[in-house]
Amino acid sequence: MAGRNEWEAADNFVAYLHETLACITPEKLAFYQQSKKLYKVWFNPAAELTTRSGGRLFLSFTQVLGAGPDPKEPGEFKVSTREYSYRLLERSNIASKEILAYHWHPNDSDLRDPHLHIRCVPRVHFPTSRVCVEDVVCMLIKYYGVRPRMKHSEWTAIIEKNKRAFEKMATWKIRHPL
Amino acid sequence: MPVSTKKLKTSGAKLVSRREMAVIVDAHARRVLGVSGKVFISKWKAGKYRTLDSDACPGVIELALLAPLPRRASGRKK
Repeated sequence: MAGRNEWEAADNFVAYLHETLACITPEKLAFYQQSKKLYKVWFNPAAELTTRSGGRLFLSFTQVLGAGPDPKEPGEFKVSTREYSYRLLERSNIASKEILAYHWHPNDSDLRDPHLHIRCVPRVHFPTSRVCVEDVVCMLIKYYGVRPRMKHSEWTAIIEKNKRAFEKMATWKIRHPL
Repeated sequence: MPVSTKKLKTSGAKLVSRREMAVIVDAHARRVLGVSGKVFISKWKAGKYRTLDSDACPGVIELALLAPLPRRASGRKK
């Protein structure tokens, strides 16, 4: 996921995200460079997912990415996720109430740790570790009946490969008390 | 709002310009909070949305992530 500059590193990182998300949707992410070191990727609009029973669900996916020199590889640049929101919706309208939402937004509220919202248990922020998109895609297929766009052996291989990359590259997964 | 047809070389992601982003943020703010993007940003900076969350206002977190608001160098730091 590294690159020769911030832009290339961000592009390579998004390629990984696309590969994972392509297991359930053909939609491409929108990409915005806010500054040399700050990038945003999201589905615009929320991506439509097809379920095995013929129904529809929608995934609102948003990540804020930071890019900078890779301390382990001089001359290389790497990208890391700074904030995320993964919401499962019944409708495409992003203002609609979600079925569930994984959030980590340390800049935007007093709640700085990763957490989970579940519609049927309102006002509770269930603490989580840092959640990778591979786990979300896997959960949607296994428990929400989302139809994968490829053979079982293909999507599971992608999820496994990219989750291994996440585990290798992530600078943290569980927030320790400061 | 449909974004431009420009794409990134490796990922194929749809490249959004600064102008397009301002329109997207404005549309999100109007849909989620019923205010313009500029009003949202100004109120956010004044700390008026510190307690707002997805339960009370679905979509507000995406809006905050997309809007050009100040961010820390590292999300982990308090």
